[in-house]
Amino acid sequence: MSARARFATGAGTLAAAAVYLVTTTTRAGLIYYLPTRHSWTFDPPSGVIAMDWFARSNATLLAGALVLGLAWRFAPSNERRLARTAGGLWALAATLLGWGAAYTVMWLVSRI
Amino acid sequence: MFWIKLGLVSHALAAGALTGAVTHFALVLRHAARGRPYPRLQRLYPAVALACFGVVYVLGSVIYPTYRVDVRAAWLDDHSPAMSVLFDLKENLATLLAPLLATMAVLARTEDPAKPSRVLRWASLAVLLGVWFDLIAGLLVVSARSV
Repeated sequence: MSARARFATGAGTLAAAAVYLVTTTTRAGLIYYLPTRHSWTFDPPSGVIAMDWFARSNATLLAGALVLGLAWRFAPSNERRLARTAGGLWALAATLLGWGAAYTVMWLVSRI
Repeated sequence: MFWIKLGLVSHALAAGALTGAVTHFALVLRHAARGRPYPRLQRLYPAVALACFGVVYVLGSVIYPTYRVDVRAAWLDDHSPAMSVLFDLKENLATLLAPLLATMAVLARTEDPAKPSRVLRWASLAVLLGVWFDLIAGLLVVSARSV
């Protein structure tokens, strides 16, 4: 049970970190909210306040939750293999999370 | 404007409760690692933290557009760009904390309370540092200008 939980949460965290990193670095496929017009668009006009946080954040959370559920459902039955894979997933997830945090800090600090 | 102010105060209260829950969880986990587990509290705090995070996230999403227009665009970007950046940093780091909070909640329910795994201890430490950073950053931004 415990190895299965570590496997599923590792996979979910890895998916969330990957989606966060891709959407933050590329802005690919993001929908923007225009708070002054109360509307959504994939192609924000210049000179208008556009917020990408909603799409980026919700995509990250959704990917994490979805993959966590799928990984729990389809986890390998071999306990030893499960524990080994969970360790690998968590190492990768921690790396991507750290990378995402470091990229965010550098990207935002460069705005000052 | 009243509802936005009410949303901001509720957002802050929920963030305070979240900080309390993750701090207490880190402390009971430390006791557990030293051979003194508190099984009930080790299951309770992560669940409370996850619920508080949900409230903070929803309320933050509701007041965010008002902040973006009336505070950041109208004042912060020109007068205090560092605070504007600090706010964005807090919002983005909060997104990255969500999977770790979920991990805490799942592992705390499935693991032996007397033997918390390295993943659980690592996640709780990362969440603890991140949530405290976000709380302090939020207070600093609000002290500069708020909705």
